Amino acid sequence: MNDRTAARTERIKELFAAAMPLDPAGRIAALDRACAGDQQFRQAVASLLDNYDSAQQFFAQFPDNFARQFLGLTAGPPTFATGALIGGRFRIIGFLGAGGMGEVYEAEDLFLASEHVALKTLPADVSDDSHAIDRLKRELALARQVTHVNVCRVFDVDQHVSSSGRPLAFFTMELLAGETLRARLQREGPLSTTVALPLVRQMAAALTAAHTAGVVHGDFKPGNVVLVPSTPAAERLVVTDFGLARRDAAPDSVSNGGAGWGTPGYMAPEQLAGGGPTRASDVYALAAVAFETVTGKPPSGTATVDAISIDPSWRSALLGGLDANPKTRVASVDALLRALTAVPPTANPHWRRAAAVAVLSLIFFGVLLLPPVRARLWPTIGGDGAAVAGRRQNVAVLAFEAADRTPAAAAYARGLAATLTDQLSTVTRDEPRHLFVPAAALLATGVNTPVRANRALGADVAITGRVDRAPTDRPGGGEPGSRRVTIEVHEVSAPQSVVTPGRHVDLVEGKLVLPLVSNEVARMLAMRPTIAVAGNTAPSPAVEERYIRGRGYLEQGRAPRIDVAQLELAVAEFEGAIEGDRRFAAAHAALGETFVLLYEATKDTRRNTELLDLAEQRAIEACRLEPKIAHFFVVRALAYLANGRHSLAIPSLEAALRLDPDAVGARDNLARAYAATAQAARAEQMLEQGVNDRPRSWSAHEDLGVLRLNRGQYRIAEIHFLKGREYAPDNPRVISNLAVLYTMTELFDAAEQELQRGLALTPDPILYNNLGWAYFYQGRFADGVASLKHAADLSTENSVVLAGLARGYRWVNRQREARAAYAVAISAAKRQLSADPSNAEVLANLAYLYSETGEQGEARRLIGRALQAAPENVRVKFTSALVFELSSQRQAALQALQSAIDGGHPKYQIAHHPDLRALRTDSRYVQLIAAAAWTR
Amino acid sequence: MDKSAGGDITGLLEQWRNGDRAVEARIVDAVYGELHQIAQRYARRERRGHSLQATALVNEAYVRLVARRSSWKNRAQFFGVAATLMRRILIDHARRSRAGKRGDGIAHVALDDELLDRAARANLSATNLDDVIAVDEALTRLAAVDGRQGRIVELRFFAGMTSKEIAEVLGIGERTVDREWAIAQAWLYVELRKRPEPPAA
Repeated sequence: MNDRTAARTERIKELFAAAMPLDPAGRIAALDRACAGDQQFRQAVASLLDNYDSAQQFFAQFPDNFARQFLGLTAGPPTFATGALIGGRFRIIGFLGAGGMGEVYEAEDLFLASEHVALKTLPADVSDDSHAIDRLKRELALARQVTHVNVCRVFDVDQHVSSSGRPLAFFTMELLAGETLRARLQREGPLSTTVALPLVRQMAAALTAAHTAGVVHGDFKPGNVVLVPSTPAAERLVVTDFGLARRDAAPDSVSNGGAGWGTPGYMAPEQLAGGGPTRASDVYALAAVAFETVTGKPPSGTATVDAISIDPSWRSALLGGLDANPKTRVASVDALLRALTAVPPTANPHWRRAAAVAVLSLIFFGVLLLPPVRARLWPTIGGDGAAVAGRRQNVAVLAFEAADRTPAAAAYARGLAATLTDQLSTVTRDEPRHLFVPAAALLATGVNTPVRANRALGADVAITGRVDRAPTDRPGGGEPGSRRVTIEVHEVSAPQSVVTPGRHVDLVEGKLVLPLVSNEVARMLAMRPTIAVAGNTAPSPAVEERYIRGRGYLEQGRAPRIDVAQLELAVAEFEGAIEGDRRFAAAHAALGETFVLLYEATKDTRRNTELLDLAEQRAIEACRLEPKIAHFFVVRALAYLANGRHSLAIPSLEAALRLDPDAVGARDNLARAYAATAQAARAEQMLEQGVNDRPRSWSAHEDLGVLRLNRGQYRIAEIHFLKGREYAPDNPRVISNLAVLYTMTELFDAAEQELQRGLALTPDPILYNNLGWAYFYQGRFADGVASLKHAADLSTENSVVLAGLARGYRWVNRQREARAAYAVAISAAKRQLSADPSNAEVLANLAYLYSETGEQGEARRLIGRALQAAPENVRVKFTSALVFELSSQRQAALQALQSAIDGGHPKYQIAHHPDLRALRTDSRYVQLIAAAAWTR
Repeated sequence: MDKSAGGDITGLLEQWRNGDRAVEARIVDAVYGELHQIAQRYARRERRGHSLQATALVNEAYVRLVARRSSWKNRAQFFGVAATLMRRILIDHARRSRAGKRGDGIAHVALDDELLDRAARANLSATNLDDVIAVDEALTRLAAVDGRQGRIVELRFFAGMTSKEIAEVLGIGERTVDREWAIAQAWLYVELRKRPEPPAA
């Protein structure tokens, strides 16, 4: 910067500073006076002044000290050094952090056999005030009377006199090695109600213990709740700072005129208005914390509760707890907890969870839980949306063949078919005669020929393709990037399959591939309108190539079973595509989808929810870039659904359906999410509408049929399953579901026949598994074992299959094989449990495995926990009957069976389960069955 | 970073305080090293069942580097050094977060990615991150035009220091700091408005 510029800059600053405090007219006058015809100078200052207000607003959007907060650098240096002796009794081990009141240290209590404690300093104004210290001592003495596993123990209040002679008050309490609920929520986001409930239960236990002892918390909030890992499967929740509310001047706390301190967001209205803390205000705070636990934010009044999508029993409980009037508010902490766990009359426990614990597995219901999703490349322009008479044609684009045998070329060919499906799907809203079968559905069912596409997926038209090097006589032929795609269209719904002659599309380097190919296919199908490509959002050819190849790896990594190596290749391609074009929304979405699958692949072994955060970020970015593409919203929802955050997924799925009623994975997942959040009526409505809109869709019928089946409405379920079979007779999911229905209605021969037919078409492990169980229920154990052995050979990772095989070996008395299979099944169940420690069905399943292997103590402990975690779950009740029976507790087993029957557990398992053979000869069982009414 | 390097930092900080601005980059690198080491230790500890908190991490670095060294007690001056560091960490994080990938070749970033992600999730949204990156870029241009103003923005925006603290660190009057901060905001905002707006979807 030379001197002249420097002088000029200095003048600009001076004039700016002088004019800034003035009003607009004054600023103009000041500029006129000072600039004296130097327009350029005037312009420079005026521009700065004009933008100053907006600038301040812009900078105000960042929280104060945001970078310091970001890095956690908000505290000063700790007062005590490591090794310092405090109050002649405590030796400082280390500085733990700075809290609202003061600093927290880990210290060693030299009087008490060197027990380690947390030492908390108090603010200077307290330390200097002997009355305040006395009052605090009285309050702590009261708080000390509360002895409860969920209440942090408080030891002593004392003073330390530093070398400067200034007293510093401190108190000591139990040292907790864990993180606060606040930190947990910041780290992981809102928790599902299933995960949250055991935590809220422990909070309620702590507050109830205190209230019983006459102690009120007064500042209950997530920052005062610590989660301490105890066993690998469970956490101990500890509530801290009881009775300290009057003193806790945390930065996020406010004074309410001397009556006490609290934290807005958790403070009851009467407390905010100046009233002291009461039991009722603690109830309010507990409801507020419960709300934040499942939504991520504290409530502001009951209106916010109405606005969220949540389990109805939670909603009504929270509304009652957050009642502004302490007189009409839920009367006690205990009442609030009871309201939270109440099962609303509309919720049917059968439909709550399609869990792997069901002995007769409905895994095909689960296969599409991670739905075959498609990504779309470019927004489509054009199309007048005219309705077309006649029914829609289902089109399946089969994986293209690659002449080149390299994995990259195969991925490209497969990806081209998948992206072609995506792209053509975007026009089906405007051109409603065609409906495209998602690429993933083809892979999941192993469909690789046009006829099978018809039989297994109900396709009317199948498209096959082949990618070769372009012939050398074509323009650009023989060059490295040149390709020729040959496409054939097969009319497969006609009695005689008709094939149109193959058409060639020659591709040259530097040109986008997909618009050319999809236009050609659209012409061949006589689709209207053809596809226009929005030039400004289309990627470059190089980016497109990476994306298409990535899609190929993604499809290969998705089905028939998740393949991490393929998915990692997909990640690399999508990241490369994004690198090349950050505005390429489809690549963001596809990357997000890949992260979800990677999470699915590893969730049993690691709780790497970070992958889900990454998936969510990518999906949000895709939705931001292209807010009209339904599929991107589905991907976002998948990131939430993968770990059970149904409430979060619902708005995304609803948005997807609004954008495109045919969006793959939107309707079925939304129905499941409604069901999981106890909105069974809406779930049912969704699925019924799916059948009405697409009466020939086999998958719509299957989804609705499964819902009916899970409700015990076997007749209606059968109608839907038979419809499904009509449109997709060879689909393994259709076959499996129908066989499950036959088994559940005790038509074992029909089940066997259907499964044998399916196995002749596809050697699928689930079909083998279900066949094995159909045999077991008939007492044909040797056949059952043989069938489950096939299932286990094909599905080496599936813990349900492995447990079934172990049971089979036990029943045919092949002890050595049984032992090995049980070991595998138990370790798989333990992994599942460590990933999902409060899942009652997983707990129950593990308990059953332990009882089968003679570890009755462990079995009883776990089944107790399962029953406590989900007292209404009939599957857990039924499993508990098995556990009790195997531990020779006949009376308990009968009671559990009674309870399962009362809850609506289907009869077939009770009447035919091999582990209840002895029990069924008991006269009490005969009475019990005679009295049972299986009405549905 | 080993113990002797800790000693070096004290010396470097002393030099920096005495006006040798050339050592700043070395200090920043050293602090990075310390943060990295602590992050590793916490990461190992976490595997044994303890939980990791970014706050604890940086506090520990702060305590080790600053509070325990008698020759370096001034908290405000620590933030003077830390501002550059924080800006760098924050921007690296924001860039990677925006790019949706981890470890994209910003070689000097040694901090645990997960840690940064967590810290960022706690305090910053995705849109904010885009703005932070834009501010950073504009700030680089500002610093080229007016070094002192650039320094003030860095201390204020990235280190969250008060005018008083900034005045202390830079050895200028508090009112000058306020005036410079005001004009710098306006200047940066004008620069930010030159950003190409994403076309409406």
